[in-house]
Amino acid sequence: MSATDDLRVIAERADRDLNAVHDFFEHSRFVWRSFEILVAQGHRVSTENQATGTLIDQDGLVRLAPVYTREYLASFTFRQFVSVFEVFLFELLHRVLVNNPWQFSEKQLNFGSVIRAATRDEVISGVVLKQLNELKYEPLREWFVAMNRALRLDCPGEDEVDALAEIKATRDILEHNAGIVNETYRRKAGNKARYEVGQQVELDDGYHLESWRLIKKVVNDISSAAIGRLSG
Amino acid sequence: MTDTATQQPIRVSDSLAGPYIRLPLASLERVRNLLRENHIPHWVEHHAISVDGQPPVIVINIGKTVDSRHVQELLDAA
Repeated sequence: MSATDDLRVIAERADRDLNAVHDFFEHSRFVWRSFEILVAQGHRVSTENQATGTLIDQDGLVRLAPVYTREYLASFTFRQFVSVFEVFLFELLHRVLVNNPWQFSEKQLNFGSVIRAATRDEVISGVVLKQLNELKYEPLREWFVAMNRALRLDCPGEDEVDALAEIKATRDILEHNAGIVNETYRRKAGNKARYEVGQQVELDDGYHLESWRLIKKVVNDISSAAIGRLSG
Repeated sequence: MTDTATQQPIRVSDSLAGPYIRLPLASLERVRNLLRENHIPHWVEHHAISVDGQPPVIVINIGKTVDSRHVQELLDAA
């Protein structure tokens, strides 16, 4: 497949996955709300979690529903949005850089990795993957610097990059600090920081939806621009 | 404030995730206006759900740090 075909596949997969995660969020919440209504109408259920031994009935589940939907469900799906974006961007970068690896021409190579590789393409892919794995630990803004070094794109804009950096910072706080804001969040989020140190992250629907929309837009903008650049 | 269909008071529920109000869709705008006027942070879920043809019900989530008793006082006084 050509590079542009590969980019289309990568972009379409990301768009599909983002829609699927958002649907999961809304459908799951719908199921919980419907269940609450059915319980209010008098329906009864009970179950035991065989793994934990937790016994629960319909009233217990209704009591847990707000935590499950506002915290677990919102947090999980928000983190999935960011994961989908990361996979998209790094798959795109890999494909673009394998197509044009010259920015790594000065990189040192272990001869063992050359011997183990079956083809020249595999050697190049290995070098690119190593660079991208290192890039993943850099601030998000550096990801776009790397992307623009490979392909000069006019997107995303500075404000969108800042907003994405804040989204990722929020995800990182949920992932690594139980949702309690620290200085690392403030540094990563920059001028888009929404919390002070010590505050608890709260994912309201507006922020959840806007994050999803921004990520979808950036996926679409980057892939369209990259395909256009490679086709031109 | 009461539900105009059932004449039951609209109540705030508490949870570990924060307060919320489950209410008939028909009462949504009245409650939202009250929350906005009193600067209560909140968001409305996207689904209004009707089960077995009953009037649709919707959920308003209240900001986690808001005192649910204060919101209930506002509803009771409205």
